[in-house]
Amino acid sequence: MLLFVAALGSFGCRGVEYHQKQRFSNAIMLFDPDGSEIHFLQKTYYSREGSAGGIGATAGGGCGCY
Amino acid sequence: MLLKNWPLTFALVLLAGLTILVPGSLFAWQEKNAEEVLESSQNPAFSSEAGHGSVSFGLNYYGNGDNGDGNPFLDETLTDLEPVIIFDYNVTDRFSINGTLSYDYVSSASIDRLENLGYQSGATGDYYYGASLGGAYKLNPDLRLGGNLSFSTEYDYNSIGLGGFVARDLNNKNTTLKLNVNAFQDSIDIIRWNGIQNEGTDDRTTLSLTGNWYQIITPSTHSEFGISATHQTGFLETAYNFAVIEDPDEDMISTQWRLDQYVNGHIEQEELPDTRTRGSIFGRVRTSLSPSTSVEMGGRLYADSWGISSVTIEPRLYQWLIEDKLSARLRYRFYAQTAADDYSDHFNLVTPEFRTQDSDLGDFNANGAGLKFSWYFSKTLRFDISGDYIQRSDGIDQVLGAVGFNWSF
Repeated sequence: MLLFVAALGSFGCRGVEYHQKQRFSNAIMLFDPDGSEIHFLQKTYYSREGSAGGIGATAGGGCGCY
Repeated sequence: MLLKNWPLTFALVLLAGLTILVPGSLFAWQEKNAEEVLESSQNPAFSSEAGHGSVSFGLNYYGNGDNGDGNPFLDETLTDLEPVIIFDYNVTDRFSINGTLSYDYVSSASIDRLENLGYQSGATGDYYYGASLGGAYKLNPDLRLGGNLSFSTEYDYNSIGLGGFVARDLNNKNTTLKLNVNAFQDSIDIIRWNGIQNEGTDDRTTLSLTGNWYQIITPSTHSEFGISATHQTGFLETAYNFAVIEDPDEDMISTQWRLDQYVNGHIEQEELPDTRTRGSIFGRVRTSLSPSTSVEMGGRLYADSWGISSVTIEPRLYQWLIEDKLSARLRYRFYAQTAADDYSDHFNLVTPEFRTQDSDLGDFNANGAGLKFSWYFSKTLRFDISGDYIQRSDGIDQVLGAVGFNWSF
């Protein structure tokens, strides 16, 4: 895992220039454009699984849920 | 050792994170860079200019059945209907606010059971109101600070939360490091499985620290990785959960809410440790195969001090069906967890100090698949509709559905 992350870091350090970033403005490349969905999935997973936390999620607290 | 001295560890990690993220040029405000100018001209949704923002409305549905393979003594059938409104607004070029309002209506077999017992109880939370308000301030083009305050209330559960973050862009905005801190102070009215509520209230405290690393890897691939640590103390069991202690020498009892279940034994309330430390690492990588197709691979590893460990793998496919008008997302999610140390689906003869029959703390795996369509009426108005089906190995199969609008201005 650490090697993988280190590899990614080395790629990133090469630097993608501004004019090369056009694809990231494409709607299908956006991370988390739907806040309602994040809110819903976070609550569902928190309520129905023994683990919690991760992308866009708080790991516990704030909800008795079901 | 680290878990034992968690407050000190937490403070050191927080201090280290702030030292890395907050540079000497803390208040060196600069004019908007070329990238942000282009973003705001292409789509108001990306704009950080004053007066712009977005409003989202969603209506979410959750339902699960129960074939009896999970908790053998409880019908866990449940449905939840949740409208939610989310907004954000740029008050100035540097300062923005955001908020969430949500309501849940929950109906479940266990609520019906309590009503049948003659007690007016919402012990499983037959409604939920939640609200949060946050703000973010851009100290300079590469550094943002923010915070939020949240409240929620249920019939037997109240919560107040406080959060904050600092985010720093590096490497010509190819890298963003973000540190989030969240704390919740919750209050639980203790209403037991049989409707009795003579134990007053108890508290639950949650402190969570999450580090995120966003990285643009190539002109067509970007990624996000994170690590999260959470510590909880207080009343961590679910007040209305129970455990059936089976003993052939005791009288036969009916667990009432699953009428075909008659056992010899007695019922005890759920008991679980009053501390829990959770840790997880997670990440995802998305790449653009062409202007109309993207794929993503995401995953997470999790472990906690209650003995639960889990793995999540989630590949996704994004496809424009009609260029700039209609997109589809197909996703698959595999999730598997081990049981908590104190979980058993059957307790025989002895009553352990800690015990739970909550199937969500048991071992199971889940396979979920979902489809989502997004229709772009214009660059500023989007309609979403999605559905997911999750098949769980313990029979708690789930259906998720959602519709929503997003308007950027």
